[in-house]
Amino acid sequence: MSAMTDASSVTDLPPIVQRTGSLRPRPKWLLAAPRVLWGACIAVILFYVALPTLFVFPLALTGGDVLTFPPQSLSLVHIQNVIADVMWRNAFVTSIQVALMAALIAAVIGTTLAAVIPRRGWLRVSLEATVALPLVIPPVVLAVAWFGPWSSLSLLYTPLGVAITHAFLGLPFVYLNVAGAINSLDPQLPLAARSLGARPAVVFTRITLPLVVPGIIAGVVLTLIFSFDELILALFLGGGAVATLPVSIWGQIQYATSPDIAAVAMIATLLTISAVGLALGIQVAMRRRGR
Amino acid sequence: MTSESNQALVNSESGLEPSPEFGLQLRGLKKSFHGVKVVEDVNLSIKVGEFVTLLGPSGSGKTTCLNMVAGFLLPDAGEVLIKGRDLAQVPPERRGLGIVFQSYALFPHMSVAKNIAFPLKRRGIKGAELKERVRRALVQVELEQRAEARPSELSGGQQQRAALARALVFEPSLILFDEPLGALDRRLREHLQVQLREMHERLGFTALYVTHDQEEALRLSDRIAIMNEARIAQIGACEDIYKRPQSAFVAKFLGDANMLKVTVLECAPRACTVRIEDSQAVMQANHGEESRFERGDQALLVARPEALTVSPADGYGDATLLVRGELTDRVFVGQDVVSTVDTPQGARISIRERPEGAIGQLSVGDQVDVVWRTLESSAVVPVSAGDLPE
Repeated sequence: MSAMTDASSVTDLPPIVQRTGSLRPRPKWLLAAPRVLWGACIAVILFYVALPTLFVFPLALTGGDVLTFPPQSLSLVHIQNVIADVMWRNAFVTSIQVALMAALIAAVIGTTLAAVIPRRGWLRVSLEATVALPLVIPPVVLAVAWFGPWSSLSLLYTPLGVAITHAFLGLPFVYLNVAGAINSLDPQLPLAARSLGARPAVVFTRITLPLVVPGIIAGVVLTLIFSFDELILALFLGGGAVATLPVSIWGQIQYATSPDIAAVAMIATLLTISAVGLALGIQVAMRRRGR
Repeated sequence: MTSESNQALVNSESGLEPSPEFGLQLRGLKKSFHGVKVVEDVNLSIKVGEFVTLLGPSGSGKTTCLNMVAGFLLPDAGEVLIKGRDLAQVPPERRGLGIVFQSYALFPHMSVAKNIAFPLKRRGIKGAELKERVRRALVQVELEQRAEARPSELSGGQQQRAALARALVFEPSLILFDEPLGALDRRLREHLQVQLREMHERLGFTALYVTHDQEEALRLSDRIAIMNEARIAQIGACEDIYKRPQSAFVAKFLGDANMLKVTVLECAPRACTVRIEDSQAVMQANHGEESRFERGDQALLVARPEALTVSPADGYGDATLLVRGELTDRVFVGQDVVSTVDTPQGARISIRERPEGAIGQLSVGDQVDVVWRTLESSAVVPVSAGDLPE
């Protein structure tokens, strides 16, 4: 009924929207600026993270005999040298052996721990702290601490001895990943399986375990990578007898900085990247198949 | 019919002796968590083939009861019996119950067919028989086209049906339902309620159903047990509870209810004569099996909105008068009209009736009489502070 008077009084009001200018069109470059800046930041960070790794490639592919950057010529000669050298071949095999053993031990213990630890409570908190302890203790301290027991158990200077210590350091990776996967499971799934006639052991093997495999894979890959490039424990507890790749590189670099070492580093990098790629691929495939 | 069934009900509830004629018996069940009583002295006997619903607000202890039946929780005291057999020492996997969970709890890494085969495999069934029983279960819930699909590829209703098939396939004598339709939209929920009812009639399993949805409880159940604050407030057939609530809580929880203060003049089992405080009208109202009131007691009268009608003041005989007051609101809700009458004493009465009656001629502000259309669903309940929900 009073629509007309209402409408006229509205037009009498100062045009707030037009005056504030917040809706005034801005130049395109100004609108794009935050996005460009953000993109630039990410690019710098990525470059900074990736750069040292990328440097390995030109160093390894040089045709010359000294580590120079930029390389004078491109050649695969140093890659061939490494592949032909028994010492480097053995180093790769030893490293892979140790890493696989470490990952296996960490996977079994880490998964079991994650499965049996209660979901909450003081027991969980204290156990998680214990499991994560090796991450914050300097490796040198760990190496010295392990030296005694390993010596009396005849594990000193054996691949298994080194692998077990690596497994301890890989344990938090497996445990945290698997515990995370278990915690994100619907808590009614194990109950449903029980009610349908599955004993607790069957519930674990048929329901819980298959559903946390992505977590186990993530933990295993991190342990593999950690073990593959670990120097201090391997050096202290493996000595010359367990010449893993880092130990051999360290030994070589003492008296010669040949591009061969860069070639070794390049092969190791490629191995690591492909391991990560494989793990990611498996996880993506499983996720697509599963949930 | 109500009187006989009510009588039988009282007998079966008091006769809590272990007996194979009961698909499930709960006897004196108790459970507390960190000193908080979650389930307190719950007694319930469900006949073989009966469909009973535990209905209550969240936190009333109904799911805890269900978990104790399933064996996921151990009771602090009391017994769970299936066909007269005590289950105290029986782990969940040997209780042989089908459970339909709120989240469906389908195994995400298995196809629908594998999910349904899971309980059969645990029972050593394999080969052709396994295949055949899985196929039959799939047909039963109309999922034979989706046998190889993963649960994540199914719609909510399909997941619900797959979960039901998995719980039914090993032919358990008792099936527990933990709010299984809670996550679905209304239309689908009603459709599945009908399906569930049909399946129950066809297969004859005993069912314990947990929900907070009163309409769902009314649609599905032979009997309803209303839970409030860790206890069963009332057990009975749907109609019985609706017409003869024994407490203000039950009256409010199952359906809408007006509550009026009354003084008891005379009380016998099944009927009480009361005087309504606001109008001084005297009337006879329903009451439970046992007389719980003395002459002169204060009590509450439950008046369902749909049992009332509005008429012009003094236009109607006194015999059916409830209160006099002012018509303060009138709203059309589809085929009915819901009106509000405020009494001078401050009570507010809600009335739901067809628009054809006197209400059609009345307007807001008129003095009116609120009278009973039917006395069948009037009930007297005790006054208790905690009973009156806000």
